[in-house]
Amino acid sequence: MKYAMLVLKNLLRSKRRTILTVLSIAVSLFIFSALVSLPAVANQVLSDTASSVRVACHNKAGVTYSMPEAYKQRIAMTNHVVAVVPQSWFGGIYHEVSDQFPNFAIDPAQAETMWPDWSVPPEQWKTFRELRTACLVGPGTMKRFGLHIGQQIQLRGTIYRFNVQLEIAGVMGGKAPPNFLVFRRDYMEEAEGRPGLVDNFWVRVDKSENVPQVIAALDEGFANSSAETKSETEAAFVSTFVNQFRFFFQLAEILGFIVVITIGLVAANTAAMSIRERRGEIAVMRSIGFTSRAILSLLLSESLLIGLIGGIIGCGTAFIVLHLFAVGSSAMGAFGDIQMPPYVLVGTLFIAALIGFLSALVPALSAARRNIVDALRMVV
Amino acid sequence: MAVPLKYNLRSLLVRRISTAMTGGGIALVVAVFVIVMAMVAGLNSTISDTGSPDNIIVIRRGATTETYSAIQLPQFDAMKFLPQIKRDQGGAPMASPELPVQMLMQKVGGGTDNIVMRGVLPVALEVHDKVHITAGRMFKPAVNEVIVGKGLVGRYENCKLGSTLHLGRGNWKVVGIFDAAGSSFESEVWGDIHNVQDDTQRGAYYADVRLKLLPGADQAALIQRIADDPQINLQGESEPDYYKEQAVVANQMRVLGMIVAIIMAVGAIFGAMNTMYAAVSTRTTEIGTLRALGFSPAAVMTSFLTEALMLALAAGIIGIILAMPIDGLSTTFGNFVTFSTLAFSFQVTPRIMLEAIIFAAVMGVFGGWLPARQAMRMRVVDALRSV
Repeated sequence: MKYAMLVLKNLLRSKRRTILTVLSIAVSLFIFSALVSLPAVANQVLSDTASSVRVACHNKAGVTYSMPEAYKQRIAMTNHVVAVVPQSWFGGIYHEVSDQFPNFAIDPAQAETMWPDWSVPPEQWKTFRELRTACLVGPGTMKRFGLHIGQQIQLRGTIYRFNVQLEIAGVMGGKAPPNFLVFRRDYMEEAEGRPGLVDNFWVRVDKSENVPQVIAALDEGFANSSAETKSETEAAFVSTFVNQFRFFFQLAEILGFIVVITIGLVAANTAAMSIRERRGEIAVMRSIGFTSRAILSLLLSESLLIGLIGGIIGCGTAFIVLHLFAVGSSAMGAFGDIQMPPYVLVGTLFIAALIGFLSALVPALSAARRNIVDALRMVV
Repeated sequence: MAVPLKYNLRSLLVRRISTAMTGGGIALVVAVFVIVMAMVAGLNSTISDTGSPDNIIVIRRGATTETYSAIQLPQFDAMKFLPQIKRDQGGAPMASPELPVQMLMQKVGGGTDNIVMRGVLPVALEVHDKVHITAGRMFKPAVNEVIVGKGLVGRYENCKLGSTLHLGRGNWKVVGIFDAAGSSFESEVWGDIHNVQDDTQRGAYYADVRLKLLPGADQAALIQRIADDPQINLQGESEPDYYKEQAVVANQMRVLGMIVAIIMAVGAIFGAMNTMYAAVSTRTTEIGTLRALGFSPAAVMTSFLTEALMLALAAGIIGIILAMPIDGLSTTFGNFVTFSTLAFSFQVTPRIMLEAIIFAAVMGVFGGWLPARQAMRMRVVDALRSV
């Protein structure tokens, strides 16, 4: 600690270089942490659903194939099933085509039992059950369009020939997807002329160990019917959609990796330059009694500090930017806002420290080990 | 008189490690730029080039894509004999009703993707003139035969001639493989439209209609007629316009990629500035000597700028070479607009290479400008005194 002043003085000696290096690390780690947050969000979605006791039951042929509404009763009678909620994709748009966010119609009756993790207050669930035009909206979509509870909104039908007039009854929080909107399926059915078809059923099972049994019972029960079903755990169902973007995430990870190598090069170069210029001075310090160990830790902590300051600035800015703006919500469709998970924050700071440390390691070692006589000779 | 280029080249070579590190940083930034732009170019050409300029796509009013559209048979019948539509040799109009449906398809090696199966009539091959059958033959109507786009071959189970594909609720015999000049049709399965209607149990309707126009026909008038005729009342658009709108994904990727590349470039510029400042300060004596020899301040500044530029350009070329292996690499991408999976290839076009070189040069100029100015402003006496 007694060398803290010395480290600080050294940092401030070439202010321009220190600032340039810190900024270049900051800028790169800004983009790195933002890039890595992208797949992290998807992985978060997947791990959130991993322990879910919900099962998605859909038509075996594909997402555009529907199933008869009447399956609901048969599913409800299956052993271990606690709740069944039919769901249909509406695919409406708010104002512009680019405004897309996922919107579904669900049966209100058992929705509260099905999704306690949406943390919708009981009185909002009550409104949802009582008001035919009620809808629940995710916080991301609320923020994106500046909506408030009680507001009337219209969704324009794209697949369907009608529009729906909805009143916002509540906001979904908790583990609900941040940009979803759900409204009542009885409203949609009526507007559509009651075809009696649904896209898929959400099934809640009493205990997680009974999930495989329920899946098997459902698919066997509907085998050889006009609409054969495929039931999956929520995690498997969600991952089918998330995996469509897998390529996008891999790319973000590769780019993030390249960014780290790039700053590694820049930082190593600067550290080498600044230590090289100080060769003589280091020799003098050693000849007046500084141990080579002290010199080494002095140089390394200086570089570590540069890396960390850069990391804090870069990562902090990225955190704030992602937090303030709904970055990528339109590009990412289903995933809504990209927030930086805490482990990305910690990981980026760790990488920053590592870059600082490693970049100075080689030149600092050689400076500390150098023969004093040789080094001094260069000075004089 | 200008300082000889050889001086810059040698200066770069003397500080080998430092040059390599700065250059490496710039090269990686350029590589990122090329990779992202190659992806955008590939996506764009896959989606946008799907249309033919003399084709019109007709969808339901208010629908944003063919996926979300529905057309009734009387509407089609009222439309197909309009005078602007081209006829084939037998006099039949080149009007192709289509029904694209997303179906789950088994990937080779496990997992499923949503793939478009497009129900068409044989006339589709005449309307979509980019589509050619490269192996086998066209499907026969009503017997559950399909032809498969070559983008699916090898990626999905049973996508080869003679095998049976399980799609939707039915089993389909693969009788042909088709090529569609790299467009998104290559990621589709085409079958008889009536078979597809049966399989999806959604009644006898079409999703969209493609019309081929007579050469020189009035496209605007036809679109107007389709919109105004009470028996038709649909929305027509030229195919290139339609697919340009469908390429929103590519455009968003382009913006995202540009932001990443520019921010990385800022980081690399700071790095280059550091190196050039160090170069200027270690060569103070040399600069003094050059000036004393009679080189003008402007010549010294030009010399240092040239040095930065040489470094950046060389790094730019290395960056492009680093990114080259990605050219032609094909992969799949989830298209949120059509809710299906699309195969596309990265394309490193000459234009992208040129842009990358310009990008590298800009980094060099920005990184070298301030240090070079400092070198120019040095006073000869001070510079020489440091000897």
